[in-house]
Amino acid sequence: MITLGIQKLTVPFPSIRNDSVDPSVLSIVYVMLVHHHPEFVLRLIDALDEPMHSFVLHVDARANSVYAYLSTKLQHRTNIHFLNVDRERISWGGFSIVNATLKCMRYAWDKQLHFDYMVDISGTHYPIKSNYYIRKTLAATPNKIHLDSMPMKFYPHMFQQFVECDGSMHRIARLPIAKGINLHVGNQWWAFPKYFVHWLLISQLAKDYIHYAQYVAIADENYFNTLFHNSPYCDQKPERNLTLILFDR
Amino acid sequence: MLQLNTADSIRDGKCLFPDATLCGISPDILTMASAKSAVEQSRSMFARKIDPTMPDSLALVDYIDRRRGTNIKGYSRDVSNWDRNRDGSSDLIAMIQVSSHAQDHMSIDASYGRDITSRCITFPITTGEKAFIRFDKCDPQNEQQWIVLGKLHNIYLLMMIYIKHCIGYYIAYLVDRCSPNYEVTIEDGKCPVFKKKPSVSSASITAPSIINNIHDDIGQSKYKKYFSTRAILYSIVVYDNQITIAIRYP
Repeated sequence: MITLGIQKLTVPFPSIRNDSVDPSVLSIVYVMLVHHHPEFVLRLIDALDEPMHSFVLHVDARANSVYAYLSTKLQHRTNIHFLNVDRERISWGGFSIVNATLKCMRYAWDKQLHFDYMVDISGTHYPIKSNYYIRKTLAATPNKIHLDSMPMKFYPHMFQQFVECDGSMHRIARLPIAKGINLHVGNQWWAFPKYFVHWLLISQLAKDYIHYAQYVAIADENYFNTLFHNSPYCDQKPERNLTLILFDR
Repeated sequence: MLQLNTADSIRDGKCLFPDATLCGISPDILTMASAKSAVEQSRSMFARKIDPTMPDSLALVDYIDRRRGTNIKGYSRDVSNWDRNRDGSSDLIAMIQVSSHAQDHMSIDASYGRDITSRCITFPITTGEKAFIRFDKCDPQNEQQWIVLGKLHNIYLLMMIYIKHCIGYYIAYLVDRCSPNYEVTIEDGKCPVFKKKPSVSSASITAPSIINNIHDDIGQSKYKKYFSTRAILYSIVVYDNQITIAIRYP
């Protein structure tokens, strides 16, 4: 049995902001996970880049040619950052995706990149609204968490323990259902205001939950969603219209 | 995303569970044929996923760019001319076009402290660097920098850049060189000099302190229909060796 307790209130939670945000200067850090199509990644960055924004790119450790291309092309753009050590070998459905995202998040925080929002996208995203619309939408509710999630259904056969090896997931055992925490799943992509990013980086619960989530299948759709619904900010109703994704099959 | 599938939709590497019909699926590739309508109607800010190896998916991106007003000229637009001249050392002269109403173009040899490769020139910065455009006669330590962007008859469009809390701002001003109250000496690359006309005072006045009065002059001018008296520089678009500066009117 794995039990994860509610975080002890030993440190103050990062507080939400009570000032307004001017959409003309709202600042975004885009966290981008990339593994192919570097020319398109350049186009995506160009489409989003504005003076107040920064980008933190994680390029799959197996995509060295992509890393070399992008880091050369973008070397003179000082608002574009690359994780250049400990890059993850990303497996579909693996916790490596979460790890890569957390590393980008930590990088942005440690580098003190200025931002009001952090937005998680991939190299196959594209903005369908103007940059001003994006800024205006985020600035309208500057404390809003953008995340599309739902409570996790408990199919017994889904609770299997996985490890990542050789670029794929391997089922090794049954996984006990975590107790003391409300498991959620949902869309991998999110936009978090700064206070929530801060909480994710300092929260003991976020650290502890890694020990469980690293064995969960499709952890990228579990980790951030579960943490939000068990955070001090769980009474918020998250906005669910960040990313248009179609599943026809 | 996990979803129950029929056996024929199972994809390699995504059927992780003992029940072979419980598999992961990936989002559909968005194309003009499949997603144009969804993109038009969506309230979302982003879409996924694009496959740039598929012409119809790239066509959707081109369509999105047109909707966003980003006017990218195809997938392989070339902005490298500007990029190569980022230090202002080459012979390349970038043309600055000041709105569609401007009659004259002015050439400047500009350089930036920050590297620019995108079509959206971004000399305001957030990293603590100072925006820098070549002003030989201006104090490089001064956080207020001036540049002449263009002119329409006697109306000069000047841009002031200032840095506040590590974020650069632009304000574009219009100055009437033939103001009844002021003499204005404007040379590209130099700080504008404002002097009250002898009937008012012979004292030299620094630009920031006088700008509101000049606004009043311009506000009454016949050129008001072309320019607002105060405009915010919204974007600068670079392609084909030309920079277009877009001014957003308040």
